[in-house]
Amino acid sequence: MTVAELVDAGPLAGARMYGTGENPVHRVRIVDELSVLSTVTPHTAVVLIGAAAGGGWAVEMAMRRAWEQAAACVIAPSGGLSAGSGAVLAERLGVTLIFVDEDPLVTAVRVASAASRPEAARTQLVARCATRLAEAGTSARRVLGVLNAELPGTSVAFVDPYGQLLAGRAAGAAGHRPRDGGPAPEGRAGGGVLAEVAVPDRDGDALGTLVAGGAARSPGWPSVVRAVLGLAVAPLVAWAAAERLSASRDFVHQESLAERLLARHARPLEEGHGHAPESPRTADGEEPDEVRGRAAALGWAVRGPVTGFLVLPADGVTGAEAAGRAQAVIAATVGEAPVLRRGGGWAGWSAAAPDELAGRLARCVAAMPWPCAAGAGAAAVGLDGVGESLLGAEAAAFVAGPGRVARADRMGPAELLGALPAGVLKAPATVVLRPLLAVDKDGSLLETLAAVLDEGGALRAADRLGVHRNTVTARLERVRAAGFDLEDPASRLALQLACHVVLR
Amino acid sequence: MILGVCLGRPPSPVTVAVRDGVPVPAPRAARGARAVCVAVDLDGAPLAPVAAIRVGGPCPEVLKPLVGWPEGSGVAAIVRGGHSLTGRPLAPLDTEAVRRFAEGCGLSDFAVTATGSPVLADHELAVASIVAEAVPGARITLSYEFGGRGLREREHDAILSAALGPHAGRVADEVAGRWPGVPAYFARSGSGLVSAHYFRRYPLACRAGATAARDRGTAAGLAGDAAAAFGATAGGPEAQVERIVRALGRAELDRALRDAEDEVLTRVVSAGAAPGSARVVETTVNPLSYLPDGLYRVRVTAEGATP
Amino acid sequence: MTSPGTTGSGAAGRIGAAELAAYVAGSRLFATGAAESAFSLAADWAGSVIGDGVEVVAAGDLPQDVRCVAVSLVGSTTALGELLPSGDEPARAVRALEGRLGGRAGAVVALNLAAENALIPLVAAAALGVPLVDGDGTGRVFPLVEQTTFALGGVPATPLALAGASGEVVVIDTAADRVEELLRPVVLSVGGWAVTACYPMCAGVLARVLVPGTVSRLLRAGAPGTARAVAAPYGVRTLCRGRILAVEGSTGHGAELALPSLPSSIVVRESGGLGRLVRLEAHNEIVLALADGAAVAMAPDQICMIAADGGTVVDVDKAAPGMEVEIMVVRAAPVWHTGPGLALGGPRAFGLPL
Repeated sequence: MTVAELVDAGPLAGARMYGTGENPVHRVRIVDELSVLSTVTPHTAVVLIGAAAGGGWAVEMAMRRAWEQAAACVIAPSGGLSAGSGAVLAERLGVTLIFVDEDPLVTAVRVASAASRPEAARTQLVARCATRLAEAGTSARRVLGVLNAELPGTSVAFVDPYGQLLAGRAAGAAGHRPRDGGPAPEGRAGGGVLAEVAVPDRDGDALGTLVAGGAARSPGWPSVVRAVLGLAVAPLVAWAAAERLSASRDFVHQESLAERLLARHARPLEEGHGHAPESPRTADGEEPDEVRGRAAALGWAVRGPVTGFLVLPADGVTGAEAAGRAQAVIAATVGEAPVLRRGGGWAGWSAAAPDELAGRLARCVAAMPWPCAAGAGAAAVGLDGVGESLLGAEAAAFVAGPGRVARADRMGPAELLGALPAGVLKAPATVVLRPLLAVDKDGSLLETLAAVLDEGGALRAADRLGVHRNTVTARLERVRAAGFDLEDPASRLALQLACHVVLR
Repeated sequence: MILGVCLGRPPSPVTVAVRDGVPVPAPRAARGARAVCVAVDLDGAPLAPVAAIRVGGPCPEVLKPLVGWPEGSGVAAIVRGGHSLTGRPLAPLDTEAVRRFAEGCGLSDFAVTATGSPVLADHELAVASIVAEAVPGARITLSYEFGGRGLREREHDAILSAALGPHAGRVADEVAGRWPGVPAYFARSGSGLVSAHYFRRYPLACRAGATAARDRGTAAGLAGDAAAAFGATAGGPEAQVERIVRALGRAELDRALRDAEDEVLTRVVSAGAAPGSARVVETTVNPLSYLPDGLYRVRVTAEGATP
Repeated sequence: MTSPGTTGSGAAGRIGAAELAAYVAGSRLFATGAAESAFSLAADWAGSVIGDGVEVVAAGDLPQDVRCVAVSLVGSTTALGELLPSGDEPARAVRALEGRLGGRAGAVVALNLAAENALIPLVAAAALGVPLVDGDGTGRVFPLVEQTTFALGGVPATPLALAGASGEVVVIDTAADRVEELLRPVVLSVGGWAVTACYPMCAGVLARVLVPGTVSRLLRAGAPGTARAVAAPYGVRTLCRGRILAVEGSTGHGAELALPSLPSSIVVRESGGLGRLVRLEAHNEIVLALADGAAVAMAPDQICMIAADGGTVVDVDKAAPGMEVEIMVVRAAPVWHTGPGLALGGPRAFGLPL
């Protein structure tokens, strides 16, 4: 146990310390007159009382003799010596001086017990933190408040996976390297990172990281800090879960949060961020971002590549209650994501790539209580581009058809054809094709016609159908014989559509 | 705009116009001048003969008032009375002796010094009212208004200030005649200014006013009388009160300090500070050794801004 | 170490109007209060009574049985500056003591030679027409009447006579250890200061117990162009030069002690050299000097602050942050470094348990 630890964490918490405090303390000596100091042994914490503490001159002489005896530190009642000259002399002699407000005899007992069982003092701090954290409940702000109050000389920050400050002191995150590989800010005061503890959400994904910054005044201090940060993980996980629960209970609540996030990114100029694709990193004195903090608690993607999606109910289901159910299904299948009402369906975005997202959306439409289609947009660089991605998702959902998922980045003529309202066109198509259907006993003529129109030639149609090209040519002769002119562009389009509708 | 004026030797004063603390080309007339700040040294000024009254006991010849002053400096009397440093009356004030001396001295500039007046000025004030009654139009300077180390130093200051009074009055009249309607201030020895009214009453405060103003002006990069004229404009009204107080315990001392602060604030306003601007800038309290507990020498300085 | 001066034959000289200036200057080389009203008053007073001079004699040159009395100002110099002397106080005090003892005093000796305390005995000698003994009772200044080499030599301060400015005369006859206790309220009640005549003894005893030669030493040291060190009979050293950082109230001085002023503590940062932090612990006077917490000088040696600007001795009460001072240590007479001397004038006498 070093002097600094006694002051930082142990029995002298809150006392004023002058000097480095790097010396280890092995024992305590109560000194009531200066002559006693000649018998003090090295690594002793000298506690001054009585005549030895009676006045600046006595304290200064005690410091001098403590230095001569290689004592660990001098502990004096505050008021015995002015802070100014105490600091000067502590620096000159390299003796740590500590002013305590309470009865020095009480201090002596506490320091003695800490010095004899250093682990006990650390445990005491950890225990006190545990109690205070329990009292703080599930609030990120209060949890971080406790950490910063109970870990003197240390700044603790709670940052999201992108390094953005969610709660606590920005200084704590000064030396932190976020996972997206951004460079750690340089030139910050207060030393480096003492400890980092990852905070998962209830599903085990990364919710954020607790980062403690400050000077490691003793070898044991970082481990104490790490232990205390560890205590804060559970309340933070609970906080995130509680936020999610309340969001799922209240669709409007989460929707407005999502809208605020989107609005902020849709209007970068008004936000004063210029055209920078991302808002600046944590800066000194930056306030934790309330909107971002809650979004992070909900497990939403707020940075990096995101993909928009839209789930579209076939029969125009609307209303907040339906939206709430939809949101629950989306959360369960797509993952934690914001849900907004868009274009008659439910839109949102996810950190998943379009490929992965399409797979999840397939599970989603299967699980929806109503027939739904879904679309996934193209991947966007960040939230700034999610609007574009959502437009794509909307189009894709529209063409996908019930029970299906379309991807905007894969959308082509086939997908458009697939989006034709088959039910409406079925009867006219049957009428148009009736002459052919009348002669087409086994459906091979219709199949061949569709293949030729789709593939744009007999040769490839033969490949698709797995027959000889002469067979295709022969069947086409029979189609023409039924009265269909394949050379007329208008006829070709009508026939192709009719084939799609009838064959669907 | 403020006019800084150095009254040196005749024929004419040196004038500097100052706006926002910076010298600007001086207009011929003082039209628009907000104030005129005068730097003048009073050393060598003609001294009026002074009637010096000391309230106290008999003393060796060498320690009597006006001893060592040039011939014609005035007349002096010692009358019974005064207080000890603990505030105990040494003797009842001999009011009859005061009246006799005042009526018989034939002078109208009086300097009054009572033993113990830094603690209790009652006898000086009583002497002043007797003199004012006996000699209509008398100008009376009381020593307790001057801080100081001891009775002799305080008495010397009071006599010198009284002797400078008529000359100071003429200087103030001249300034008022030259810049009619413009408030006039005079540079103090040391730092700060006082109003013309205050200057007439306590000219000693400005005894080395031009020297002090010249030092300030020289520090600002000017030279000669222009430096003194400019230096006079730097600063605001300032006043000081020095007392010996008896206070047992912190509460009594605080009360005594408040009284002294009230007094110095009143005085700095009388020295020309706008009432709202007056503030105490320094308070020093020194316990006196070898005396009963609770005797302190208190010195309070206040300053303010010209209206 | 320099020789302590003459103790034997030959007239030490005379202080007349011509020598008075040097004597006045010499008396303030290591004494505070030179700027006080009381000092200029005492100097003017002495000048007005010196006449054709006061004879200065070595104690050993006086007939053995001549009665000598010590004369000194007691009380507050501030009070003396305010409540002026009536002029006959020294003579009244000595006459009162003579009245108590019977017989005349044949010589006056100073209790100490700091500032006005060098001048009042001169006034007394002039007024009485007797010689001033070349020496004094401390070799420096101490705050209490009983802190003298006379007391160390076994001579009691009593009977002791006091004369106040309003004509008061008080004779105190008591055990040696109660002198201060009785004296102080009397001094306060006569206006805060008085002249005392005390330590009556015959010249033969005085020659044994005084710090000799100090009057003639002041006369030499006060001559223009003479080094300050000449005024220190047993040597002087410079502790450091520095700037006052802070002046603090101080504690840790024995509470039962009744010294005439409150303890204070002056913190000085040495300019140049080692840049040490020097703390001057003052109780009436500077009693202890610490440099980086180590004691480097203490009573009975005299520790003074000399203003770097002006060269006057800085009063403890007037020390203020920012002042540049030179800290000098004047070695006390050897008798003060004996066991009884340390008990009477060492740090414990000022309440420091060292």
